[in-house]
Amino acid sequence: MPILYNKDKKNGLFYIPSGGLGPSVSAAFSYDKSSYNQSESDPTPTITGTAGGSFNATAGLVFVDTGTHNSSTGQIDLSASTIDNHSITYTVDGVQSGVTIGVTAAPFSNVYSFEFDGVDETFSTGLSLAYTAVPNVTLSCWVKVNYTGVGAHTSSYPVGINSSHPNGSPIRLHYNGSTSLILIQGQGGNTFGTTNLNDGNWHHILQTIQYDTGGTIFNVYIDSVKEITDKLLYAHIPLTGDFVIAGITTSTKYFKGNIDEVSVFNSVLSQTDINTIYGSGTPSNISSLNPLAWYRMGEEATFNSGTGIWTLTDQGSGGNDATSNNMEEADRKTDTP
Amino acid sequence: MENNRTYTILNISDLAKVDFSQVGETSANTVRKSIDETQFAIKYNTTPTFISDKAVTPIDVLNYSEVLALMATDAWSTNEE
Repeated sequence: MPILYNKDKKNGLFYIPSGGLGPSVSAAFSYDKSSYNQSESDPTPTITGTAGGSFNATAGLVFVDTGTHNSSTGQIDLSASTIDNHSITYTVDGVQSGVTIGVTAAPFSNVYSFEFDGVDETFSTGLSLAYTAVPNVTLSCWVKVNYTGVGAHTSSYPVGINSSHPNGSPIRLHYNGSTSLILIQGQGGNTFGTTNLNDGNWHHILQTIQYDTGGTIFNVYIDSVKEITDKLLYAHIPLTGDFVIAGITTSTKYFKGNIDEVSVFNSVLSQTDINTIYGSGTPSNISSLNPLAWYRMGEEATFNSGTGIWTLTDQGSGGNDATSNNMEEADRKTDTP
Repeated sequence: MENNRTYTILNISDLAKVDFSQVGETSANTVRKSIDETQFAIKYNTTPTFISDKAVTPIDVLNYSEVLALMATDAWSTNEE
């Protein structure tokens, strides 16, 4: 015999469903946090109310089970979702509740670099840096030079532009058999940097290339300190050609060692910007400087075992993904600045 | 890390005979050529069949330190200093 509690003292007939008075329906659910970054495990909600309902989210949030913003499980695909605050609702038997979940970018992490053999290993990018299109350029990279076994009185280019012009456009390292210094050839002959880069340590190299009516002006910074100032080339360069990493094939100058965090800017960066890139001697997130190209050199990279080609997804604005030449999967190393 | 790959110098006329699935180079378009473009270099961990079956005869078979020394010569590198 059911017992009815009529707290408002209503008069009339009371209908009792044939199944009796069942439990009330609840759409209560929750995630264990209100915000997740994209490198975290995809979270699944806990349904504390009635099971068997469905989830729906605002556009931009992607659920694992469907690849859309509708779901039966509510597990969020963080890496596929946009960075934003998303509303998620759970509906069961016409009852609905909602939460707001934030998806944030993964924190900056640098665990990889690429090692180059100095024989024929490079990356091509397809990024054209002809001075007519990009008159002011900044090139930035971290290098760990290893010139053991390399012939003396040679040059190599950790980054640069494939060009018919014999000098100037790349970051150029000269090796005299024991030490390796930055070299710029131009008005007045050769100008060398002062820091020996062949010391087994990581160094940051940044070179600005500035258009001037009289020619092209170079400045070079090692570990955020300017070592070559306002070196003038009479010619305007780079003339033509694409940005490349670890070797200028037209000049047979291949880099031997490790390279990390390569970036290109379509402007001449200030000393403040350069200090931001160098930080305290380790790479950091440079997205706020709006690079034209940014290759993480191991992060945001995929290896196709069928073709044997690495692809580096461009993290800059240009969308020029880099592809490897003559490299293998094992060339990605856990050796970083 | 020590580089134990074998580097082999071949005659440019053999370029079309190279099976690039068996070597470290990506394609015929990416091999390093000598300055006069009469020779090119390949590298591998396991001897490719086109060499073992003598379809291609190497000009030279080198280890890593030996190929670095060769690449530093005037025959393989331009000197712009």
